[in-house]
Amino acid sequence: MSSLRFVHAADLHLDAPFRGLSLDSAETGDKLRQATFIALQNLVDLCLRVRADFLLVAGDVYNQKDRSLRAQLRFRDALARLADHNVDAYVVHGNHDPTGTLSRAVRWPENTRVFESQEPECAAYVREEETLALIHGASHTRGGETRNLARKFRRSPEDVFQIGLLHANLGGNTGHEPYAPCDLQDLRAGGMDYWALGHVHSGGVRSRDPWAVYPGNIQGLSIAEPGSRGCYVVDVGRDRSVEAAFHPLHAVQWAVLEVDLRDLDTLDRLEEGVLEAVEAERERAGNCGLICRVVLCGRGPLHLRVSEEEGREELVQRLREQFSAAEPFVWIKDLVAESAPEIDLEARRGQKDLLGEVLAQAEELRNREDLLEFLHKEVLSDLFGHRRAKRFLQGLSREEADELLRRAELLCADRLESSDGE
Amino acid sequence: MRITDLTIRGYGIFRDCRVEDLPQGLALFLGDNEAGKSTFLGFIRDVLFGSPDGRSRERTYPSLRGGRWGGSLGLASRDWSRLLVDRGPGSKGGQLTLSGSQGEPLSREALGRALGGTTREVFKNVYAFSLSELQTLETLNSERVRDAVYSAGLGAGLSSLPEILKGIEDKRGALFKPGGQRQKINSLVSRLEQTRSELSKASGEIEAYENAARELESLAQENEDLKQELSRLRARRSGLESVLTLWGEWLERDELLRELQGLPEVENFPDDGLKRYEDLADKLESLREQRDTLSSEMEALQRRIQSLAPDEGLLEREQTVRGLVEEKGRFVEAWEAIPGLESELKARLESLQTVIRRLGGGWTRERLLAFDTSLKVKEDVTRFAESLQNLENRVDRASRELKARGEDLAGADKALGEADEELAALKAGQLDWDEDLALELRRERDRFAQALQDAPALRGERDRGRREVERLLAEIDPSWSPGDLERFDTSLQLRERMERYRKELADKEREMLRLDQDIRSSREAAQELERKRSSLSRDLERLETPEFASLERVREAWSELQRLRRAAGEDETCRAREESLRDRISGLQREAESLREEPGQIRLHGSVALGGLLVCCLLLGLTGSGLFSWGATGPAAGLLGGLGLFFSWLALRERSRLARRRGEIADRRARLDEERQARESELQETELQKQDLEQEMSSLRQRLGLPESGGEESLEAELERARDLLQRWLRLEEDLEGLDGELKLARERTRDLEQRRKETGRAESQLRDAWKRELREMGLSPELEPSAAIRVLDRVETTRSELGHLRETEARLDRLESFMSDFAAKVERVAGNGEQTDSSREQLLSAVDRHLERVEQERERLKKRRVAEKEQERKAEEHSRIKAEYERVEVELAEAEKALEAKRREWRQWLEDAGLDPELTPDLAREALADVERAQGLIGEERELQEKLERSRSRVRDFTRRTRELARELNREEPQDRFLVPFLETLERELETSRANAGSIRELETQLREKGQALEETEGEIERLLQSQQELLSLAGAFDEEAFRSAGRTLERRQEISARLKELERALLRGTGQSDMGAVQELFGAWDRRDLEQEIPRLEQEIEDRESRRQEVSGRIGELRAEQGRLASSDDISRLRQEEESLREELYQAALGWSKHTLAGHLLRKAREKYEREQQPEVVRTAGAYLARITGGTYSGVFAPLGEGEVRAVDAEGQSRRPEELSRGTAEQLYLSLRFGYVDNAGRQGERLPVIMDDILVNFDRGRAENAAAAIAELAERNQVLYFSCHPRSIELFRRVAPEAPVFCLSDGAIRRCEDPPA
Repeated sequence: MSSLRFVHAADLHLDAPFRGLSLDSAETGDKLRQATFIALQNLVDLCLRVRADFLLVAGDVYNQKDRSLRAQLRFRDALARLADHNVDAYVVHGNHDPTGTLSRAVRWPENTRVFESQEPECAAYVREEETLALIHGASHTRGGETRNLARKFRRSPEDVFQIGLLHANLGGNTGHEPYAPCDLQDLRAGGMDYWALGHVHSGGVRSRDPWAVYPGNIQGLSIAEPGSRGCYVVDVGRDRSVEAAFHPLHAVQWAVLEVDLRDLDTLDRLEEGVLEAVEAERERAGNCGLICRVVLCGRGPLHLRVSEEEGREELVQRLREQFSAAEPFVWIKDLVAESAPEIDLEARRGQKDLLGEVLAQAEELRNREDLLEFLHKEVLSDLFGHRRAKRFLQGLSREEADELLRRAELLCADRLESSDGE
Repeated sequence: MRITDLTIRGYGIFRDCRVEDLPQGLALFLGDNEAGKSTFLGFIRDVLFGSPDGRSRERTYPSLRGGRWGGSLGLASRDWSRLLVDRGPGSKGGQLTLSGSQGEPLSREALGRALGGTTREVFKNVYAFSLSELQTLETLNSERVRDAVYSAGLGAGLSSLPEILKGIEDKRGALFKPGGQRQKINSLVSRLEQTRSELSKASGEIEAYENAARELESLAQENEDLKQELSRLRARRSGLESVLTLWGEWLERDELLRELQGLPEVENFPDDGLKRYEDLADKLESLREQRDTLSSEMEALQRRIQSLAPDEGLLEREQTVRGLVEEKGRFVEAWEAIPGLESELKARLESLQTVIRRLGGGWTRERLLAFDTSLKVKEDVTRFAESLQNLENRVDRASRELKARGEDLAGADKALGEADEELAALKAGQLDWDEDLALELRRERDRFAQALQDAPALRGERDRGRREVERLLAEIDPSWSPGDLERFDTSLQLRERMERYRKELADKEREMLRLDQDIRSSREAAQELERKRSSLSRDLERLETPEFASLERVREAWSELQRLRRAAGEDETCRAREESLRDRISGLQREAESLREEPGQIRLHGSVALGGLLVCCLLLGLTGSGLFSWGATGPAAGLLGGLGLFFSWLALRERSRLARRRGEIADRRARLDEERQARESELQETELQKQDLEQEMSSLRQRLGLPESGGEESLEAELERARDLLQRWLRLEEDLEGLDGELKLARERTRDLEQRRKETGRAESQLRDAWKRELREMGLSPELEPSAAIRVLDRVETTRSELGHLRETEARLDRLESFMSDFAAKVERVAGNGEQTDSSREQLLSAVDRHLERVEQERERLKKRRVAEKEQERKAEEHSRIKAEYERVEVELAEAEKALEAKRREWRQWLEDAGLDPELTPDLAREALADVERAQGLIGEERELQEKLERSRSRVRDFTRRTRELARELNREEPQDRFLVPFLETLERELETSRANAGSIRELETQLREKGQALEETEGEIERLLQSQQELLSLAGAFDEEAFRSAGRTLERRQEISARLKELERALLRGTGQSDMGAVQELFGAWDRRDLEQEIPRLEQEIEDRESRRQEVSGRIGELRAEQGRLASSDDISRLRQEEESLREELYQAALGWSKHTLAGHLLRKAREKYEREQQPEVVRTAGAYLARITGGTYSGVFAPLGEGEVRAVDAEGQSRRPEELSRGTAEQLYLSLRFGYVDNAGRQGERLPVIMDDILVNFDRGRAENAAAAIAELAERNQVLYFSCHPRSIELFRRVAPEAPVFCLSDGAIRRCEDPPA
């Protein structure tokens, strides 16, 4: 058998909006809306550069709920570009773009194979009259697919390299919805040489026997998806040995930077500290846009200033101005104060003063079984029960409620302690 | 924390005051009124917390006696060694400086820590207070203080809790309000709604794109079809059009073919023969013309040569003639110059003579040429001229300066004289005075003036005070003297006793009044009851007695009537049932009969079925016997057979059904019989029942006295009326009984009240007697009411305070008077210089002012004299300097004059040496030199002119000679001198003509030879052409030219026709698109021209229709493509979705912010609630202990209801009293206890601050004052206590419980340790 090279990508989520980003710069907004498309273009460029034989796309090309025509057309154009250079493409659908939601008006190029059925189908990759690989693919035909699709895959009797292309949740705890769940045992039973998977946004090689790989998404979409995003270039040798290498594709990178307040005594020093951290990250990120969350941590004299929202907002504005002309762009998403006051809250809890009592009250709340119900119905009902507002607000999760309690404690401590010295 | 020492730089009446060694515990400060106790208290507050700002109603203390405002406090505590707090003037309460034990600067927070978070307000009201703060309840009721006191021990921060809560509430409110619009969250929600609605509008792109794609596909197909159709139609149209267009060509071809057939064949005619023949004829013609022209030209040439002949002699001497002609110009020039040169020479000689004459006698040409006029000589003259000029200028300058210096000297003389005079004037007249005395007078003058101003007011105040005291005394008792006032007891016990009397008497009076009112109303109530009773009994009498004995009987009759009715109803039901039973029975009988008929019918159905079976068998039999041959009737027989089988199956089925049906009918009949029997027995029962009912009804009717039928209605109405009447009667009777009971009670109550009224009256008169006894003991009128007596006590206290004030005013007046007389004595001492002195103090003041003014004037004059002396010295110096300058200029002038004379002598000597007139000035000498130079030039010019004249004359002579020689050689007449030039010019012209003629002849001869040759060639060519013509004729076999031409024309026409035919055929093939003429023939043969002309427009119409549809389709395709392009590039949804995400994030963050603040507020409120609930008792308990101690157990504690923000004192019996129900002293003790309770608790939680009190015991009776002093001394074991008082008695009180406490005395702005404190 001749050697083979293909590119494995998944979770393109074309034209999906960036989550958790409040932008007041129209220019940056435009850049972000282009980000997934630029990443797609990078993917095509990569395929051509490495002279790949074909491209595998393991689902979630776009978000069905977004109903973006632009996303489909751009994807078609990208595949057409590959077709012009004789690069084949094999595509399956995932939970975000189940079969039947793609527009029928968009026609795929000749050498693109879209597997539309939930029953695995097989396509052969032939070069110079030699079949080099068999690609088995199955798609999600509806949203919220909870059946085990991996179990339906069976190796063909031909003695060639065989690939399983599927959008699935491998192993229970991936931090993603448990759609098309499966485990390594199911994959082994399928008898494929390489499982090209999609769905989990943090990529990585999950198994080498057989090969099971998540490339992750090609563009991070929220602060929960920091760092490099891209795809795998896979080389299959004459002896069917496999080598997979990650290539970044993202156009915009998310980053969480920590700045310790310990040695910072003035706002100017803090600003410098943040600037240094951002600059260092820019250096690392290279030639792509950067969205940063700056987490202020540690104990320090500036704790009170940064725990005031106005103070942080002012600093964020100043920082944004500093980077307003940066190319590629840098956007400071927010400053998160996780710094602690100089007093030890745990030591104060339960002491016989007002702060001690406040902390004790908070602890009592924290231990309540029905904390969420109590908060939503008793304390925060004005907002969370508000007829109009509740349509746009999800209820708090347990983690959010705990964090809220912690912040309220800090607020009380800050106010009580700062009034002390007046 | 405690105060160790303090320094006051300037504050109120204090200036540069220092107090050291303040003890850890109690320190006492004794000072009269206005000695500065309040000021001192204010100082400590202001240094610690800053001075109050302009908005505060608190008193401020500017520095009154000089010194920079402010001062410092030294603080110390167990935790840190020392902190120096310094406050100086400045904004925001004053400039604060903090330093540590080593003087190192400290931050503001250090003070905050030292004060343990206590605010100014809390400190002022709880830690450092005077009587006024102690007395006012509001000071403890202001929210901050209340929070601080009631929640003492809550730790730092509580005092600012309301602000913190408000701050948090403000934050929440700015983020969200349920009904708000502008709040961040509210506005974000609105924007999100807007975005969402825009999104829903913008979605649907995909559907639009798909629709467009579908439409595009079908349109593209249609477009393709149309294109093919169009091209087919167009091809056909163009084919037909070409047929029509070529119609003429087709006809022409026909004609040409016919003509060709008519023309004869031509054989052996040379190629192009006709044309070649014509060409030859043309050429011959032109050659003959050429030959004639050449002959005539040759003749003309020969004639021309003969007419030309040249002059050979002249041509031979051409060189000579040309040389003379060239010189001709120079000759003429010399000839004309000679007279001019002669006159110029003459003019030069005359000029020379003129110059020699001007220079004077003795000058010859030789001497002139020998005279030296070199540059050196000229330079000498110039140098002499400059030197002489310089020296003259110097003399002039010196004499001018001498004049100016003379004038300066005169001015200086005058100024010196004036200065001397001024000095002399200032030295005259001087005054002596005592400097120290003047200073003292000046210092005290303002104070004296102030005293002068204050004295009358003070006297007035004293007089007013006296009058006021007298008036007040008279008001109390006209016989009272101030001594009585002093003796009169106004103690708090007395006050309290009076207050008790007042209250009790008032209570008794109130009670009597209330009892009177109760008795009155009780009586009225009894009367009212009686009125009601009599009206009721009247009503009862009016009521008719009921027919039935009792209500019971009526009820019985009523129930019997009802029973009768029910029985009638039941009877009715029985009848109806009877009837229906009968119907049912007859129905059952009918049904049973109908069932008996049914088996017959069933049998009928069976026979029908059997018939069917029979038919079937018959048919089968027929088939089997071959009655029908299968071939023709097979299918029909099959059908019949099938029918037969079907019927037999039907019949069999029917039979079995009938069998079942028979069974069912038998069952049914049995059941009907059973039911009939049941119904019949039921009917019998009903009949029996009916009989019973009828019996019952008749018995009831009998009992009710009713006829056999009817009468129920009237009986019912009668019964109802009776029942109503009876009920009313019974009710009235009941009411009457009730009223009797009430009346009795009312009378008893009236009696009770009257009894209580009597008792209360007795008690009141006893109380009043006791009161009168009390008044008598006090020496007051026994008629006084308690409230009036309390007012008397107040008045006594007021009068006492007024008297105190009066005494103070008198003392101040005494001090003022003694100061004024001291001052007057001092003035006497300086008024010895004959100044006016008068006992009047105003005049005394003006005398002081006058004296001080004179002293001032003298000082001024002395200052002026010193200035004048200095000026005079300066002017004398100036004078001597000017004089020296004048003398120096005089010497300089004499030197200049001497130098000028020497230079003039030198000049004269130089002129003599040069041979010039010694009296010449340098300018004239320069002119003489110029004249000599001009004469030398004129002599040179004269010599040049002589030489030029000679050269011209010799040239004229030579030219004339040579010209005459030439004339002789050409045998021409010799010309005169003036005709020499015209002669030469004539010769030149002739020479040119001869040369030209010779050249022309040579050229003409050449031409003649060439023409001869050409003529010969032409003749040859003509001969050759004639021969060729002949050859052509013989080739065509033509005997003459005419025959040749005719044959040629025929051939030409045949060729023409063939060519045209080819052309036409080509056009026809091309135009119709056919490949051979046969097809063309067919095409044209198929069409009639008229049909063709109609077919083409029809085709065109069709093409046009198709074309317009195609354009429509293309247009729509373009639109759809554009629409697809727009949809593909549309960014709207993406932008809106990003915007929605962005807004959601903002909303999420804002919601978290709101929730955080809401939750924080919730926690704080919960904490406070709990704290107030659980911790408050600690402060209150401590305060209660203090109150019990101070009041010696009269009050046992303090009670503070939760959340009401007020306190009450609890007495020994456990009764709680509000502060307004307590006497002033007790109320003050309650507040003091509260403060101590707070101080103690706060101290346990954190820093112990010093407690500073200003005379707070004045309203305490002696016993409680002692108790309070002991409590304060005990407090001082934990907190530093500074106690201020103006009463030595108070100090004694404290010294008894704390003998070691140091005592400081305050007086007129000074504080010092008391050496001899009151023991």
